[in-house]
Amino acid sequence: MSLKKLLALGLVLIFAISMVAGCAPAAEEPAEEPTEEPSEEPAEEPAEEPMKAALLTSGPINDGGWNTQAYEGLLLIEERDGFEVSYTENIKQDDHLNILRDYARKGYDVIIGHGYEYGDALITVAGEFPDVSFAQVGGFAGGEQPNLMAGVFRTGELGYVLAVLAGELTESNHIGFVGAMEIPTLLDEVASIKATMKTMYPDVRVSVAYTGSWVDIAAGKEAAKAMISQGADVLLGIGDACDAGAIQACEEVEGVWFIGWSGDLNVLSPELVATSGVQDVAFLIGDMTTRLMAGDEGDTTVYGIAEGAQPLGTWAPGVPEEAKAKVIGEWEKFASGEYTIDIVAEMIGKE
Amino acid sequence: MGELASVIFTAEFLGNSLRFATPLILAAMGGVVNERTGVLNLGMDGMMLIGAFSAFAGSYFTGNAWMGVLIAVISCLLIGLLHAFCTVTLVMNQVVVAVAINTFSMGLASSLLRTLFGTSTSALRSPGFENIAWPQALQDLPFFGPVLFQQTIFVYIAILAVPTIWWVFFKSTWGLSIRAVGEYPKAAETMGVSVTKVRYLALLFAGAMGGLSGAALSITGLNTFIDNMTAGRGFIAFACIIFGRFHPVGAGLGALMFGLAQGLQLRIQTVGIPMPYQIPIMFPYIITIVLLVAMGSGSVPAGWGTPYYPDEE
Repeated sequence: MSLKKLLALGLVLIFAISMVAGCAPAAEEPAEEPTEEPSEEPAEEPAEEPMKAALLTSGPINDGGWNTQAYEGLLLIEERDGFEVSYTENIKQDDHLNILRDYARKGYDVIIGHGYEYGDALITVAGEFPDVSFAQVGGFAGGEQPNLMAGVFRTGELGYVLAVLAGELTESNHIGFVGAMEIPTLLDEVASIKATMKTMYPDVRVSVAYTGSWVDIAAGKEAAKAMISQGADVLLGIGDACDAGAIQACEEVEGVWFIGWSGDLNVLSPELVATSGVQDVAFLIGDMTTRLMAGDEGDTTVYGIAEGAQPLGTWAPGVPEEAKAKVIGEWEKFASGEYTIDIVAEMIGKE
Repeated sequence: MGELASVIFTAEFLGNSLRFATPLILAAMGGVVNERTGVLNLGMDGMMLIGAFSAFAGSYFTGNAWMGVLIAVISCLLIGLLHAFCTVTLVMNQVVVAVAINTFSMGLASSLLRTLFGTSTSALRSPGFENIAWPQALQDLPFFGPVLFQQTIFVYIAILAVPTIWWVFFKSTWGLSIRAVGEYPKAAETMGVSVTKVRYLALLFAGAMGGLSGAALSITGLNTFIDNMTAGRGFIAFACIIFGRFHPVGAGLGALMFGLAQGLQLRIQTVGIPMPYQIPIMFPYIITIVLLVAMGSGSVPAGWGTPYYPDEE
């Protein structure tokens, strides 16, 4: 038995190590021990030391959507501003404080919480570390502490622009929306799509379905198939990884378009993803870090089409020119400031 | 409601639901065997995840979907072996081992994905399985064509697995050994059946089925892998075994029912019946539990979840 106990102990250790390895901050460039650093170059020119930025995400950074974009933002500031970057992914809510504090103690200059859910933890930790800068993407915690900046996307604009595209493209007068979950930003876009259709394309029917998951590709595909089987010929989607499933469902039939959000999803299926409403997280992260490093006071900024944060993605070659021109025209009205979000709010109000 | 009925009673709906249920059925058929030998295996989700990943990676690098399946089965056999070694040879707590395997699998699949494929955002697609090329006449059959003859090979494996396991359980001497070991291991041992051997083989079989199940999820159309893509399907398969009263037919029907209910709930949402979307999302779980509880046949193996110490009296 003692040999068995030894083996059991060994296995437990292996599992424990693998768990720790799985959960530990997956530093892209492993953050070196602070004690080693000064020994090499004894603080000759402290200004030469690269600035360090860290990113916290609740999901995997390869989800092809929301979290991937944050990772791209991190790469942007690495390249453009010479930051040394690290990230921790798949973080659970109760670990927010610890991981934020951990990065702050290790001497990171900018720490980014990627999502609404980081608000409270960021406010707390930003108060504890007044010399460290913090940023939140997709939340409103900016300004709660002077060293905390936040940026959110203006929701509803893209819903309007992309709904116009869906209205132009549909021949069956039936469009579908496949979402992951009813979260506030997503609901805003759905409301905008519905109101736009009602006002501008009253004959078009809008179906909505949620998969309940951001990672269940198979469910995304199944939901899209359900829509297609009922006659929808244009699908819009906000579902991160689920979008890939929905796009595949469109690929399996003739003549169904997909319109995506967040990332430029055209790469997933260049013929069939008409275009995407890109929410340029990298732009937000780049802009917020620049302002924080310039010493700006923390605030919450809304980034929309006019600010250059919500461009349209790559177009599929088969989209009719008139439809494309019309949609770009509508987008430009937001970009130039001719339209504001008020026109969307007004349409929703009429319902 | 009329529109909903017209959507549900279609071959397209049944065919898709069958496809959706396939990974669940495969996993449940693997699981039911090891549960019957008395080993509690909550690690099916981890096995599926490793299966889904290795099927995708194998298929991607070899360019052959069958190689993907082979690699998935081999990887999951290793996980099954690990499970058996821990729970049977080392007599470790079966729940703890399963939790460790699930966590380990999730970390392993994510780490390997990053290591092998980097963090590129472009779509990674591997070769995958196409529908079996039945004669066109069969594919075009009204109703039966789309349901039965426009499917990948995994659907047939899953359908055939259910009666096969049933036959093994109740008509073969293997089945007798399996059930005896699960009911009363000491008696089985006295009769000359090696409890260790039966439990090892059962867990290896569960591993192989977990590998197939993962492959059925990742390379039969989706042809990609993302972190945690099983989304808890291994646990659903486990639930189907429990509520199916450890009977292969019960577990298989439970898994099929879950697939149907999943297709149904998405169509309910799409038709636009006004209710919070969380309610249709609950449907598959509720319907599966209610039906399986109502069915009620078979029994829990008496030795379920208890380790067997061959050395001791």
